[in-house]
Amino acid sequence: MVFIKLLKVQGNSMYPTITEGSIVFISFIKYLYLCPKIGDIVVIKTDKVDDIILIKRISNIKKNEYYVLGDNLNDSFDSRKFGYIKKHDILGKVLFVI
Amino acid sequence: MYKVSSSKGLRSKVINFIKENIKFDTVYAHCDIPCGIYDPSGAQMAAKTVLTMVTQINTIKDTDDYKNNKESIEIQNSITRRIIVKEEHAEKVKKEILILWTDYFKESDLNIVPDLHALIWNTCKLASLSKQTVNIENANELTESVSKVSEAFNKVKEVRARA
Repeated sequence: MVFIKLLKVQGNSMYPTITEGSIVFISFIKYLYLCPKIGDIVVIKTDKVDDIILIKRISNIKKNEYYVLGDNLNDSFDSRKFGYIKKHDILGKVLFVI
Repeated sequence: MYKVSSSKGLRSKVINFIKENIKFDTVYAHCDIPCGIYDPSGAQMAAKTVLTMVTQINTIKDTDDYKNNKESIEIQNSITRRIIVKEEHAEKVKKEILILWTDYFKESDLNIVPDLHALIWNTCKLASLSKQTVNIENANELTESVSKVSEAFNKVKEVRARA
């Protein structure tokens, strides 16, 4: 099992926190023993969006379901379009960005 | 979450080298004009909002309250709020439709939807007309036209899925 992975960001929905081309370090074990909390930046993969991994920030939690938004609210494809996601849709937490 | 600055010095050179020379998998900070996710539902919602606003403005216009007291600040406020929402959502219809046109549809899709260009042009014109007027007929035509774009979108999506 890979515990940490580096991914390259494409798109600007997390601007200004994360800009296009940034590399993010993702922890895949953090949420094995902790629950995601509001404010965490996470990578998700949901069957509501085919075949791609998204990076978003958790903005609300309701009965083990998570509402995720991009920081760039004017230009983000997020829970406003695809709704709440499940915990198992959250792959990992962003630890830091370069 | 920590953010490592890459603004200057050796560290920035190393970071830039890593970014440019190592291949990473991609994670999408999905914006509106990106890499594969398109949906006409935004335009449909916006068109319905325009229709609702136009209907509400016309309903207010027909009330005795409005007829007897047109200059009341409350009446003006109610109408202005609806005009603002109508204006914003008509603009949104244009934006969403144009994103589909420029980014989702391809030239080859004209084989599937031959009148695509006319349909898009007409829809955007109707959105502009809905900004200029408070005519329910125009707003209805806009909603229908956006539905036709949505049908075209689904038709193309279906053909692409089969290919």
